Amino acid sequence: MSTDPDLAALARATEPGAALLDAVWRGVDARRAARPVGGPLFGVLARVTAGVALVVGLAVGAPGAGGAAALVHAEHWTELAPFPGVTVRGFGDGAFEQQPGGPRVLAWRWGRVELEVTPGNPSPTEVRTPDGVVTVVGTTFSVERSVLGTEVRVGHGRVRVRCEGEAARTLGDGEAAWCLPTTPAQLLARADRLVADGEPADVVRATIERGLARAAGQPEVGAELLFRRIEQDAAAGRSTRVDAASYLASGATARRQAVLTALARETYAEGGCAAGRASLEALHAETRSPEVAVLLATCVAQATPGRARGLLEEALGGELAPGWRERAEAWLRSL
Amino acid sequence: MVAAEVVEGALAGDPRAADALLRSFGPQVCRWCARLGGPRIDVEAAAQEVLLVVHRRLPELTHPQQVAPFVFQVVRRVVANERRRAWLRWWAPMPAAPLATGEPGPEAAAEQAQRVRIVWEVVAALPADQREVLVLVDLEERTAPEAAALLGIPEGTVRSRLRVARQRFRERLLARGLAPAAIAEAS
Repeated sequence: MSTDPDLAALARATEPGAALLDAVWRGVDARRAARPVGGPLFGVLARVTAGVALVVGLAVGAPGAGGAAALVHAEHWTELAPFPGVTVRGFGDGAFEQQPGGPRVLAWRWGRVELEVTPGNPSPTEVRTPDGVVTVVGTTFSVERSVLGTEVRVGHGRVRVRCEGEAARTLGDGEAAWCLPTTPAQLLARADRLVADGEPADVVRATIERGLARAAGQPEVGAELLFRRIEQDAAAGRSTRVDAASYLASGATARRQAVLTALARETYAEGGCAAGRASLEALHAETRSPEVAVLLATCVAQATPGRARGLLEEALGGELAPGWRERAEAWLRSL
Repeated sequence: MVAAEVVEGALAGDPRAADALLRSFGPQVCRWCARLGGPRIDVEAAAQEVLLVVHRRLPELTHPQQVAPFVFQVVRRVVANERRRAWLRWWAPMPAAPLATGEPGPEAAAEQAQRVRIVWEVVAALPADQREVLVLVDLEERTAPEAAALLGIPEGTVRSRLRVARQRFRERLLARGLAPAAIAEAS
């Protein structure tokens, strides 16, 4: 325990009790039990151990000579040989296809595939995901398509990776590369997943910026991405004023209260009532939050005590956070 | 202290050992979430998130020495996210009490609770790198080498951050109207 009396008191106050630990474990156990092992297209990435070989709902046929695609839906890890000299292990949703004289194509929309391709086949093998194309000559490698994008890892040999909208690059033994999602909605999903995984802010920020750069014509997704940037900036102590104004001007409503909150907090913190009153008024009109009513009352108490009294009475009629009621009552008595 | 065989078993993929390892870290994860997250963080939610991330990513670790620093890194990231959410949820600073209210003074226990609350807010308001060393060294009384191992930074950096953190902690306590207790200089 700390020798500093204040920090020692804080250490005691933050020592977890049995009730908290019980609640944490109940939540952890419930969430672990609920964690999915499969998911919809672009859904949560499932990791299935190779030891679990149960195949459910697998529907695959040999690619037709006329070029018809064979669709695959494997919820659990399985092994397939869709083309001579090509072994595929994995799970997810996709299709195998070969046009006459064309490459042997695995169009993989979600999930993970590991490939072994025997060298020397005259037709190249490609794995296509919505984020890019991986071209194989002769090698062992994996392609994993998830909400984060497409990850390519090379075991042995060489593959050429061309992410959507980017130049091709070649990966060798042990190398890996990511093709990021290309649509704003997918980039939004990637950003949320990165946040949930606790990835660094700069990584999250890069994904948000990439999404915003492509969000023209998609105002709903653009507004959500803008809100994510507001959250990031607010957490980092950067000004959110410009983005908040853009969000409010966009007409989006889903995050309006949170954006007004961020704006009010920033302006009030910077310049007290003088700077923050307009934002407080807007927030109060929008939310009728009792805490905001108390704060607004303190801003208008001198000029319009009657209004301040009304605001405080309104606040005291609501559910105030701990400590606020006493302050509101004290202010009311002082008017 | 977690038994070495539990850690090694967990890293080798034994699910029972992984569960035991996770549970052994539960109390410390809650402490770190509360102390690094500040008074407005939802400790229960943050601790759950940390433990789930640790459980999911445990197979990525190869050496027992990596475990505690890894858990701390996950706490650090989850807490940063939770602080962001708490920041938006509880944005409003409580207004100052009006002058000359004529209220009687609060009870001593309430005064002490209020003082702890202010200290907690002051710690929570420090920049993350300073808050971390202050919590690990001055609050949890870890040595500088221990803190350096958890943070993944050189020992000298821990000491220099600690000097700045202590200075700011004192200044901000004073600014909040509390006379800070003396903090021992870094040994």
